Amino acid sequence: MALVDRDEVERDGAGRTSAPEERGSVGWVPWVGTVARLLLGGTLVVAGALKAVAVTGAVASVRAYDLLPGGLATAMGYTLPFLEIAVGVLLVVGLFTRVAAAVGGLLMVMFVIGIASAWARGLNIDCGCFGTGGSVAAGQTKYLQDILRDGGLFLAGLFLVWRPRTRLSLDGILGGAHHDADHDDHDDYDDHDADYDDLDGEQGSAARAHLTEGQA
Amino acid sequence: MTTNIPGPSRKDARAKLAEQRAAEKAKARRRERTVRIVAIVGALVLVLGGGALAYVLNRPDAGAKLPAGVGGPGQGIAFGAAAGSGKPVVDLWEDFQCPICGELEKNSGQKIRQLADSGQVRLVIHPASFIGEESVRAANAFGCASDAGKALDLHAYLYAHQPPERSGGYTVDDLLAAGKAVGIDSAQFQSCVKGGTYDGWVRQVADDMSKAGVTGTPTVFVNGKELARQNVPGTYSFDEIKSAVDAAATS
Repeated sequence: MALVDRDEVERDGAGRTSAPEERGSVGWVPWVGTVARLLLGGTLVVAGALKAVAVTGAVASVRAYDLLPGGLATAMGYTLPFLEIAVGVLLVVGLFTRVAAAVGGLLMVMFVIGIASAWARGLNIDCGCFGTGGSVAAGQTKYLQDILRDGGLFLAGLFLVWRPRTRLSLDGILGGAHHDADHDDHDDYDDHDADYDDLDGEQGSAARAHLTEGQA
Repeated sequence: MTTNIPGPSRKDARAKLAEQRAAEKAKARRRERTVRIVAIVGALVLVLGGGALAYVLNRPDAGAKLPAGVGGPGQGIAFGAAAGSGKPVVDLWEDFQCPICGELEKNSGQKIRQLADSGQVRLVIHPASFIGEESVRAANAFGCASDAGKALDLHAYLYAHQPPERSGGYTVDDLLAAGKAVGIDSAQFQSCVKGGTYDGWVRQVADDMSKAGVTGTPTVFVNGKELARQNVPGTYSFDEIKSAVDAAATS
């Protein structure tokens, strides 16, 4: 069995003999990840685009929180919409899923802190989440609703940091044919291969059987 | 093992297969690297380039033309007592589309105007424009009317004929008709309204508003101190404004 290289021995350390695409996470987990990606990414793209088309409103929104010094608030107001779009697009297509989910999740934490602080200080502002410019008529704030939404999106991000392998993702298409579901814990550049598919079925199972024995 | 291929040839086939696989793997890896590099560079260009471009396109033009009665870039139009007269300064931030601003104008507009006209206060009106393009057009026309000395007349007329929020109201034709109704019919006013002469100033005012920490309209400051909205939800009663003015005048 000369074709069995070290990588494969390591990878099959668990001694499992199922087909590569079935190993690792439970079957529905990657699909949950896909939903999480689309929710977080889609929301970020929409929120970013709405802010980008009325960017002065986004600047006003950041200033309305009164948390950052003037220059920094201005810079954030101008760049945040595009950061949201970039991270959102990466999540929607599923590229750099873990990094993008981490950034998206951090943004949500930041937003929740900002909104909670505005609420606690009794400010009368719109969260500016979807680019409305920070101003709101008195008594029309929706802090709780905004916090719940962003909290939920944070959980979606957290899930993806934990399980970045998802269905229908560019990460999967680019590296997926030789990505191993058992290696979820590795980074996105994980290049380990599961090439049993290339062998004829009999040889493949023979190889696996051999490995299983070897580990036993 | 069921195979008819003799040993050596089978070995060759394996070697070839391994080679082929290695080549495919290398190719896939190169492709993956290319896509990832393109995506990283694209994301950075989008965030930094987009932010910088948005800033350059939208930053308020410090040299924008200012209407009569405006002391400096981003400031509102002043009425009544002169600057430095020692009289209380009433800063009023409002958006021509904001319904509650309409309420304030209906309940207190004339009385506030009297305070200014009688020289008891220096009234500075900052026309916000956060609700939409309609607000920008109305604020520009407010500036145009100031050049004709009829800003407060147009102000009262526009609130009396306030369209619903974000309904595409305050069209150029509406604003020209409003001007005519309060007695401004000059070619200068018309070209000012049509050409958006003071759009740059309106953007300055919007920028100044968020810098001043004003996040809603109407907002009133008396001598730089924001007035809490108390009795009437979301707005002020004239009495609240008047007592703050009186307190400021005696202090």
